[in-house]
Amino acid sequence: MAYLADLLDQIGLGGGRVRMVNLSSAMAVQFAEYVREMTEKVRALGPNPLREE
Amino acid sequence: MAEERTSSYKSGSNLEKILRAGHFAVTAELGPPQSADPQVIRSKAQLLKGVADAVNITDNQTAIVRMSSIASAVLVIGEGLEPIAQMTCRDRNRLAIQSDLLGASALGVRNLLCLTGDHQSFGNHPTAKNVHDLDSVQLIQMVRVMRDEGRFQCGDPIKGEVPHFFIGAAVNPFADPFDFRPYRLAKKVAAGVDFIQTQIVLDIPRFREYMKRVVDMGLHEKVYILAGIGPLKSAGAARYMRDKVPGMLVAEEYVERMDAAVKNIPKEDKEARREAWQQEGIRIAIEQIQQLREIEGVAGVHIMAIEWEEAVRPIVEGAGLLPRPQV
Amino acid sequence: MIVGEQKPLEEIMALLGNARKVLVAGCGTCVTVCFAGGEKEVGILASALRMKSKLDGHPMEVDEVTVQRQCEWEYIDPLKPRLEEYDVVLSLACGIGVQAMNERFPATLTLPGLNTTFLGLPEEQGVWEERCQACGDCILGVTFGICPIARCSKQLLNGPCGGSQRGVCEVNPDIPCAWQLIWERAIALGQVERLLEVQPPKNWQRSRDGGPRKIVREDLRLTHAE
Repeated sequence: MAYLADLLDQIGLGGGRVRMVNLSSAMAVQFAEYVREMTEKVRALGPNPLREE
Repeated sequence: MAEERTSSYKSGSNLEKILRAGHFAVTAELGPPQSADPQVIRSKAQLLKGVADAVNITDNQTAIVRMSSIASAVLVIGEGLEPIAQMTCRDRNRLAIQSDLLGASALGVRNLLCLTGDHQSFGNHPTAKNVHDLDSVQLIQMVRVMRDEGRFQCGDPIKGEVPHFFIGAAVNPFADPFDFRPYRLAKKVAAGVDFIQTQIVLDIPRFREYMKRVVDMGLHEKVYILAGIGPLKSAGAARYMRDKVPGMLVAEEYVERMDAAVKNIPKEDKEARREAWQQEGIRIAIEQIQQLREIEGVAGVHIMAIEWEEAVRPIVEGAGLLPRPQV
Repeated sequence: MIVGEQKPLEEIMALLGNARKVLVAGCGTCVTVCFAGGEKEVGILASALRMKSKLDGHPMEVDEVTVQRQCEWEYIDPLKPRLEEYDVVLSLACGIGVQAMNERFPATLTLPGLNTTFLGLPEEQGVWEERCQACGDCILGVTFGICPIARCSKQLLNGPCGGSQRGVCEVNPDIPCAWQLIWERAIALGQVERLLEVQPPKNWQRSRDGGPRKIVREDLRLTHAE
């Protein structure tokens, strides 16, 4: 995961776009929390610069 | 020391004569400058003249580029002091070493210390390529064959005058594996070394144990061993040597004594602290020489007061080793 | 095996310069095993190049191929018909593979995407360490199977220098002292006396210092000189 984040940084997409967390199936609340956090973070980073206009 | 050794000198150097005559020898160290200024060498030589029987001229010590050992040695001869040129295996291959040694001998250098050399990663050119075509044992052997058999390393005869060196080497009784250290010395003796200078002794019990093994192997009868003395300049220097220098052992006693030396001096009074530390460092060195003289197989001392050549005279004087014998 | 490490993307981009059509060529042998230049790494690097070049405003067309061994003609010859379409080949093989490609296909420039690092082994998953320098004159027989040419920072042949302490090298505490290892092995095997002989200077002529080395086995050649 660290490798992938570093690679995304080198490419110029930003390593912050990827993250891995460990959760069990019983941790729905935490899952929702992580998803919300990540969505905010990626939104802040802006749209994928590679996507066609 | 064996009788036949008095018959004829190998090099005729002052150091060889002193040791052969059975005197307790004193050598010191002179570090060449990181410049082309001959005056630095001349001033340092004056501090050591009449105090040491010969002085080591380091060869790019700690892998930092400095004036060449052989060139500096010639400047030292001009000051009326005898040099011990140093040669490391790090910077030169067997061709360069042999040609430089022919030149050194022609210029009147009579003592040579053969070393592996500090690794280049410690110096100011860490990206350099190292050589290590030979190791220090092979270097000793090559110089001995050049001198005694008149042959180059390849076997070809030297056409005419051979280089006359009193051949030295270093040993570190404090590095690991400890049990291998006396054997490493035995290999240097087998290769043909004449004298040894040890790493700085700051752990006398350990050194005593090492010397006991050396004496048990009979090596002290085949080679002159000069124990290394490194006067401590401050408590920080003692700690640095204890914690940071690979292959160094520093007895806690010395660190404590250096701390105690400045106990009643306020931290702000830097001058007084420095003075007190230096005095204590010199006092410890004098005591060490007295202790080392009592150890069987120790034929002299080698004082490494790096960038503190002023300390050598009071140490030698305090140890009762002045004036130096004339031979 | 030969161990390699991928060059930073930045350096690879600089090497590729203005190339618009690139073939990334992996190797299925040593560099696959050390996760540096096999099929998987080719795929990742090719994607990275596509994205990076697009972001930089000059998109590259990047294709992928991995052969069994880039250092043997029979495995690289099948690439020949494809090469014409590419401005450049980026090889993820070791330096031998890169040179084999350039030698076999002189019309196409093949660039290195890896730094060929050493001959070694994986000490554990994710950790590789050097073991051999291919000096051409093996001395493992007198050093109890531990090579001081590859593993001693000063390539000493007659025992440890004064910088060996607590089993590690003065150069870096992560490097075990080769001579400590040799000494321990000699004790374990009860053959310490074998280390007391003075080892003569090494014949470096058989190493790189004699120029590029070559082995010719007449018994194996298909075409004999008459």
